[in-house]
Amino acid sequence: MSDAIISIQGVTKRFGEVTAVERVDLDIRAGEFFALLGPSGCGKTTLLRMLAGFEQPSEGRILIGGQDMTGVQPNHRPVNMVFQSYAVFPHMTVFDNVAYGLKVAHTPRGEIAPRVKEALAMVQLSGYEARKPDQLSGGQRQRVALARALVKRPKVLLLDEPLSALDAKLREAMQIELVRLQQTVGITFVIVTHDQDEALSMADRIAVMESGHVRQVASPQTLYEFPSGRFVADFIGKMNLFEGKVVAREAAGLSVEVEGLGRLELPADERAPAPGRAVGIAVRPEKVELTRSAPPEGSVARRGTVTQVAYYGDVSYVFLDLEDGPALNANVINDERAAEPHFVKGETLWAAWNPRDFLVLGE
Amino acid sequence: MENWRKHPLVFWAFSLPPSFWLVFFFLVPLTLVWGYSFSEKRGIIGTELTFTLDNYLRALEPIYLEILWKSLGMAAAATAICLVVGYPVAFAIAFASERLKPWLLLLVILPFWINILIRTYALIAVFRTRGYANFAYEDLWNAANWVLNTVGLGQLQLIGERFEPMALLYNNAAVVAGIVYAFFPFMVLPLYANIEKLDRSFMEASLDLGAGHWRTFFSVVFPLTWHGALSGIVIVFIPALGAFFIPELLGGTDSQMIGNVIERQFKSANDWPFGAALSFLLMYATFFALALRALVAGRKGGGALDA
Ligand SMILES: Nc1ncnc2c1ncn2[C@@H]1O[C@H](COP(=O)(O)OP(=O)(O)O)[C@@H](O)[C@H]1O
Ligand SMILES: [Mg+2]
Repeated sequence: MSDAIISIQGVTKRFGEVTAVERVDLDIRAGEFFALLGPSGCGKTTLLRMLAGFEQPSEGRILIGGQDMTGVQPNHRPVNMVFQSYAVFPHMTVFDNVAYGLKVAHTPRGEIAPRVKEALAMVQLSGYEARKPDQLSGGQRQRVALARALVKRPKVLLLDEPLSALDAKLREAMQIELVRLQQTVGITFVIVTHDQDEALSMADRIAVMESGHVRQVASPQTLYEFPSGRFVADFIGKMNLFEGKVVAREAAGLSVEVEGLGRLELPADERAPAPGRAVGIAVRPEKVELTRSAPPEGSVARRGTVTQVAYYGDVSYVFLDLEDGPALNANVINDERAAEPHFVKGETLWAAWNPRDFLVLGE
Repeated sequence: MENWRKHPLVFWAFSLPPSFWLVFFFLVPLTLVWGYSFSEKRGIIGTELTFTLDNYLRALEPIYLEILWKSLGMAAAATAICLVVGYPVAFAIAFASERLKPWLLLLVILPFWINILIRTYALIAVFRTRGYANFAYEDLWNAANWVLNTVGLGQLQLIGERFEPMALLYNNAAVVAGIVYAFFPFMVLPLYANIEKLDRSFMEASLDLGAGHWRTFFSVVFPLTWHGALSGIVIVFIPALGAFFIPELLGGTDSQMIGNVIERQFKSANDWPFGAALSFLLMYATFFALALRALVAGRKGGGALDA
C-alpha cells in the first residue's frame, strides 16, 4: 500500500519462552487515527514499543515512511511516544520538558520558545510554563507529555494507554480532545488501549489483538457489526452467543440448528460455512426486541421469563431465560420518561429479532 | 508498633538495651575524648581538664593544616574516582538480568567478608616492584619488544632498552588507589539503589525525544539519581578522610594523612589531648559536610531529588 506510513511486515517478538507478538502484518495509513485494541497481555505495548524502537522484532521488519527501521535507534526514528506513565521529567519545568526534544535536536534558540508556546497552547496549558510536574494534576501531566511529543512534529505519534490513569469524566473529555488534536495537527496517531469504547469512539481503524495475533483490522462500525470471528464478536460490545450446526446451505440462505433456539433460517453469502460445520450464532442485545404481545408474522421470536433488569438510565439491560433453556440479554432504550420500569422481573415476554441481525461465526 | 503507648513495658524492654549501648559505648567515650581535647598533658599518661584551647590552636599550625589539606585532596580524589567508576558499575548491575543481578551485587559486597587490613596487604602484593601488576606489565613489555624485534624495529628501542618496573607503591597514587579499593562498595550500593528504582520510562522518553545516551545520562539520569551519588560521596569521603593504615601501608614518606597524625598522638607521641583535638576538628568538618548535604538535599529536594 503506497499511502502506508507504517508497514509492519511479518513481525514476531519473543521474550525467552514468551511470544508476545506473533506474525503480525499491518499497514497504518498516513493521517489516520489508528487503535491497537485487545485485552491485557495480548502484546499491544510490545508492538508499540517496536514501532518506537525500544524493542527489536525477533522476526520480520517495520517500515516507517517507507524506510526500514531495523537497527534504527529510538532517537533516530521519526516517531514520538506518550508513555503510559507520562514520564514527564520531574526535575524540569513544563517549559523545559517541552523544550527538551528541541534542544537535543539543536533547534535554533529563537525558534524554541515560540514552538514550545504553540505546543502548550495546543494542549491548553498556556501559562503553565514555569510549573514543576509535581504541581500538576494527572491530566495536566499528560498534556505536557502530549505537547512534548507533538512539538517534535513527528510523522507518527504513539500513545500507550494514554487515558487509563484518568477518572471517567476526564477520560471522556480527553477522548474528544485527542480526536480534535489529531485532526488539527494531521499527524498519524497510533493509540494502544484495552478499552473498546475508547477505541470505537476515537479511531478511524482498529486492529483487534489476541494473544500476540491481530484478529481483525477494520473500521469501528465494521468491527462491531461484522466481526470476523468469535473473539472479536465477544470482545467488542455485548453479545448473545449460541452454539449451532449448519444443516443446509442454499442460495437463499443458511439453515442452522441452534441449541435452545431450534431451527433458524438465516441470510448468508457464498462464504458461509458448509453443512455439518459447528458455528456460533450471535446477536447483539440492542437488536433484540421485547414485547408483551405476540410479534408480527415473519420475525423470529421466542418466549422467555425476565430474570433480572439492570437499569443504566439511558438504557436497561433485560436478562431473560428463554423457554428452551438459553439465557438472552436484550437492551431496552428508555426513550420515554417513566416512573416505573418498563419490564419487571418474573414477567413473561416475547423476544423477537430480524434474521438479518444474526451473525454466523465460523472457527 | 503504633500502639506502643498501650504497652509501655514492651516499649521500654525493647528500647532500653540499644539506648544503654548508645550511651555507654558511644556517647560517654565520645564525651571523654571531647574532654581530652580541652585538657593539658600531665606526666606520662595523665591529663587534666583545664578548658584550654591550646590543642586546637596547635592543630591549626601550618604543618598540620598542610596535612589536613592534603588529606582532603586525597579523600576528594578517591571519592571522585569512586563516583566516576561507580556509576557505570551501578548501571550495569541495575540493568543486568534478574538472574545475574544478585551475583553481581554479591561480587561488590564480597570484599567486605575479608578484613580490610588483609585486603590492603594484598594490594601491596599487587603494586610492589615484583608484584602482579608489574609482572603483567613485564609480559606486555616482552611481547611488544618481541613484536618490534620481529618487524625489525628492535634497534630503535622505542620502548626502552630493557624492562623497567613501574614504581606503583609508596606514593600518593597508591594511597588513593587503596582508598578507592576499600570504599568503592559504599559508592556503588546507594547509586545502585537509586538507579534501580528510577523509572525506566524517563530514560526511554529522553531517547524517544532524540537524545543520545550521554545526553540522557547528564540531563535525566544524573539529576534524578543525584541523591544516591550524594549519599555515596558522603559515606566514602568521611572514612577516606580519616584513613590511617592505608596511607601507612601503601604511602611513601610524604603520603601521611591526618589520620596518621592522630594515630601517632595516641600511640608513639602519647599526646592524647592534641590527638583528641585533631579528631574533633575532623568531626566538626564532617558535621559541617553532613549539614551542607542536608541543606542541599532539603532545598532541591521535595520533588525532584526523591522522585
Ligand atoms: N520485557 C519483557 N520481558 C519478558 N516478557 C515480556 C516483556 N514485555 C512484555 N512481556 C510479555 O509479553 C506479553 C505481552 O505484553 P504487553 O505487550 O505488555 O501486553 P499488553 O500491552 O497488551 O498488555 C505479556 O505476556 C508480557 O508478560
Ligand atoms: Mg500495555
